[in-house]
Amino acid sequence: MTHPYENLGPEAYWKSGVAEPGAHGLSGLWTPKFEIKPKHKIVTAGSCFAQHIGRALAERGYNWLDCEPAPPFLLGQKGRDAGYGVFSFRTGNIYTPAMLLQWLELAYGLRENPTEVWEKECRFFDPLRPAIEPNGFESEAEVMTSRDITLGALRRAVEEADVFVFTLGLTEKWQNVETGVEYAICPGTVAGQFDKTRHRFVNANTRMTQSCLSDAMRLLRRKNPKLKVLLTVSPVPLTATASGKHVLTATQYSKSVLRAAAGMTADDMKHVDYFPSYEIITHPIFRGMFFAPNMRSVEPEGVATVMKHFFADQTRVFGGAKAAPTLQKVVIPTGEADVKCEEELLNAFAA
Amino acid sequence: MPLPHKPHRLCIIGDSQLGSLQTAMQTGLTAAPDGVSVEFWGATGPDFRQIHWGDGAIRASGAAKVTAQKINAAGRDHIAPEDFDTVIFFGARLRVAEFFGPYLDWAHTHGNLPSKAVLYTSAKEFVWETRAYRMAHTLAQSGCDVIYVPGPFYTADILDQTVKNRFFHAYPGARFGTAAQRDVLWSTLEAVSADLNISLIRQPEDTVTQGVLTDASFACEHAVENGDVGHKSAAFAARWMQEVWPHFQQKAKAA
Repeated sequence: MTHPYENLGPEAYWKSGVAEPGAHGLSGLWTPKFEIKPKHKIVTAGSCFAQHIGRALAERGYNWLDCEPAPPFLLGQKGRDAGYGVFSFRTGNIYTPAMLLQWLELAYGLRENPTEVWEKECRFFDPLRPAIEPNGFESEAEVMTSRDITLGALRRAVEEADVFVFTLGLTEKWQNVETGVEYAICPGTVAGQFDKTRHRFVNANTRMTQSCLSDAMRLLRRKNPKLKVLLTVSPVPLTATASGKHVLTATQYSKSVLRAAAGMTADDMKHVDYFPSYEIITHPIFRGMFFAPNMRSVEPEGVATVMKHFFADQTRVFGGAKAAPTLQKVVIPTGEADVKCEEELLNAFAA
Repeated sequence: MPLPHKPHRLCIIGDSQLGSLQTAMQTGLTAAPDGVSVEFWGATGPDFRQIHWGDGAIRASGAAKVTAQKINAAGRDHIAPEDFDTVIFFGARLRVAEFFGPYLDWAHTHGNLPSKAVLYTSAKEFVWETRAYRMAHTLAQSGCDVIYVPGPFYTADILDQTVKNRFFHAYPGARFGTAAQRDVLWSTLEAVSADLNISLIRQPEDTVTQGVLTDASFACEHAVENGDVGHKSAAFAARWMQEVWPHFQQKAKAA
C-alpha cells in the first residue's frame, strides 16, 4: 500500500533536505510561482531589509523601478540620506501591512489625507515618514506638498510595475486614537509629542495582519491586474518593544505573526508569492552567521546568500535569465554655449 | 582741503559672455555707477580651465593668459583679492540652465519641486561643481566683495531644442517651468551663494521664455547662422546689469 510520503523529493525530508547538505548546500528552498525577468519592472517597499533586495536586484542588472528618483545633483549618499533611491518611492520604511494599506489608500484617495504634522524646533515632520527629511521640512505646507509627490510616485509604481516586492517588518505600531492613522514610529521619538490620550499602541495579531495584507494585495491587483507581488519577512529583530514583553520574545512573536500572515496570503492568492529570505537569515542551520555581533544587523554575506537562493531558484524553475539591456545614457552636449565663443569675446575687445 | 575719493575698483571676470557686456558698455547701453573704475579679465570658455587659484590669486596660464592680458587694459595675468574692491564673475562657466533644466523637468514629472532643504543641498552641489565658482568663493573668503552673474539660459528659437541630445529632448518638462518655480530655484541659488559670501544675481524674469530659455530678441548677432544659443546681445547684458548695478552700489556703500 502506498502513502503520500513515499514519492516525495529529498527537499521534503529533514535528513536529505537540511542535515546532509548543510547550511551551504541547501537548495530548492523556494519554488517561485512566477518568473521574474531582468526586464520586469520591480518595485520594492517595506522595512529596512527591502532596501537590500532592491539594491541587489539593481546590481544584477534587474530593472529596479525608481519612481521618485533623487532630484538632480543629489547623488549617492546625499540622496539616500534624504530618502531617495532607498525604496521605489520616498515613503521611508513601511514596517507593517497596515501601513502599506494606508499608503495605498492615501495614494488612491480611498481615505482622508491626514493633516497632522509634527513640529520640533520650528521644523516640520511628516508622521507617516518622520525620518525622510533629516532636518524636517520648512513648513506644514511643504510636508503636504512633498507627501503629494510621493503619493504620485506610489501610484506610478503600482501601475507601471510588473513585480511589487514587499518586506514585512513589524507588528507593533502606534496609531492616532481619533483618526486611526498609523504612524511610522512612536510620536515623540524623532519628532512630535507623545500623548497617551491621543496615541495608542497596537500589536497586531495574525488575523489583523493578514486582513490588512490581503486588502493591500487586492488593492494592488485592482489598480494593476498584471501585477505580481513577492512577499518577504525582514529577519531584522525589533530595536525595542512597547509590548511589555522581553524584546527577544516580542521579536519572535512579531516575526511569527508576519511569517504566518505572509504564508497565508501567498497560499490564498495566485498573484502573491512568498520568498524565504527570513528563513535563510534566521534559521538555526545558519547558526546566526549572517548577523553582525549585535545579533540584529544583517551582514552583506547574508544578503548575498539570500540573493543567491533567489536567483538559483528562479533559474531552477524557469531557466537562466537573459541579461537586462543596458539603458542608453542621454548625453547632453555642454559645448553648445561655447560655439564661436572666441569670436564673441575677442571681437568685443578688439574694438 | 578734502582728499579726492578713491575710485571703487571693479574687476569683471568672465568667459566669452563678457563680449556682450563690453559691447554694452562701449555703446552706452549700460554704464558703471560714478566713481567706479572698471577692468575686464578672463578667457574664452574652453580656455577657462587654464585659469586657477594659486599663490593667493586667480591666475591664467597658456592661452588663457594671452587672452586675459589682451582684454585687461592693465595687462594683468592674475587677480589678487587686494587688487579690487569688488569682483563680478560674469558668465564664468556657471551655466544655470544645467540646474534649471533637470529641476523643472523633475518638477513637471512629479508635480512640484522637492523641499527647500533638498534643493539647497542640490544647489550647493551644483555650484560647487564649477571651478570658477570655487575660485569666487576663495576670493570672497579673502575679504573681496564678490558678485556672480551666471551664464544665461539658452536662447529660444535658434535651434530645435527637441532634437535628440538637445535641451528639451533631455528635459522635456522644463518648458513647462513657471515663474514661481524659477523663483524658488533662483532663491535657492541665491541663498547658497549668500552663505558662501557671494551675491548671485538672477537672470531678469522678463528675458525668460518657454520655461527656461532666453527670449529670442536677446540673441547675439548671427545666432541663427551659427546655431549659437549660448551668447547674447549687448542689450541683454545691459538688461541684466540693471539688476547688478543697484546691488553693487549697495555693497559699495556698505563697504
